[in-house]
Amino acid sequence: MSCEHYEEQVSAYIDHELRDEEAEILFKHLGSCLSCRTAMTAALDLRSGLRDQPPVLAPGEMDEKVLSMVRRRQFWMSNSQAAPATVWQRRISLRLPVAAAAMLILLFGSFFASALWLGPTESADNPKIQTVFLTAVPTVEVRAYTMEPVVTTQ
Amino acid sequence: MVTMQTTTDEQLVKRIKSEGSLAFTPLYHRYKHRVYAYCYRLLKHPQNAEDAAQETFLKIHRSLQQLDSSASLQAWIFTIARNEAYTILRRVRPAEDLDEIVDDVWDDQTPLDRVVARERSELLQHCLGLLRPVYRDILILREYEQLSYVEIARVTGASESAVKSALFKARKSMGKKLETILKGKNDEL
Repeated sequence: MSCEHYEEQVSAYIDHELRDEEAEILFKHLGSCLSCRTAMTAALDLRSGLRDQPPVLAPGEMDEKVLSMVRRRQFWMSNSQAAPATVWQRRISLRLPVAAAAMLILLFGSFFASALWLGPTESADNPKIQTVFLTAVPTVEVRAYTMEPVVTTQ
Repeated sequence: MVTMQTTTDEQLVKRIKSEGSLAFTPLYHRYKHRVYAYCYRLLKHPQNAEDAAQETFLKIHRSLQQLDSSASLQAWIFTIARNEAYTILRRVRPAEDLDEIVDDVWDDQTPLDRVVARERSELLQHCLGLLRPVYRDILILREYEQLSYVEIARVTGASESAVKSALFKARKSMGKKLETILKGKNDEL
């Protein structure tokens, strides 16, 4: 194995990430390789240099900013919780596509049902008379005859 | 009574599982300096670091219930901190793949004469700042936050072998850079 491999093992060793058998093989190599021993010293030196720094501390104003945002969030969360609903107040919660489909079914269903309910009626006098009520204002009753149309208004 | 200084991560996780967001304050005080320091060393900018740290703790507060009690608390916290720091880093450097581990570990090349007068520790900090974000990130997590390779792999999304390789490259390159700078300084004397 090359010194490049052992130098990588040195890096892992100082991080306590080598298994015992790997460390044994590494130390066997270090016994006879000045270059890798130098690499070990350099890696430990680098670590102590990096860690030998004044600590970096969070700015004091960060406490108030973070904790006040968290308190506001907790306040809104606790105040937005719904009161227990009575049976008559319960909402039915549906996903949007389901709700949209339900509305369309209700709308067309109501048209269809009203068409059936208002369907053609037959006058006792003349079975060919069809009475159609138009809901537009003014209300107009139109009687259609096969021969003579009669239009009356109310 | 357990004081804040002696509260371990395991005790904090138990409190989070039983008290939920009421356990946020002790968690915040325990980690605020570490999270800020991590963001500061990675972003090299105090205001960006503060923004990233604040967003980290707000996300932690929102996600407390999702904490897996068997997972490492510090790895979970630094994963969130890393995501927030990288969000800011991507805003500053939008065209770059910040996570890519490449052979060139240096982010910037500063003329030797600008750094020759500094003390060794300042030189080290300067060299750390010159590393590419992915190498700087992993070195900070290892050297300052003392996360294990498993935890660093979890935080960064890299494999353990990639973490091991990246640490080796970063350390070797920093050692060489420092040697070159110090040698140049000695030659001038």
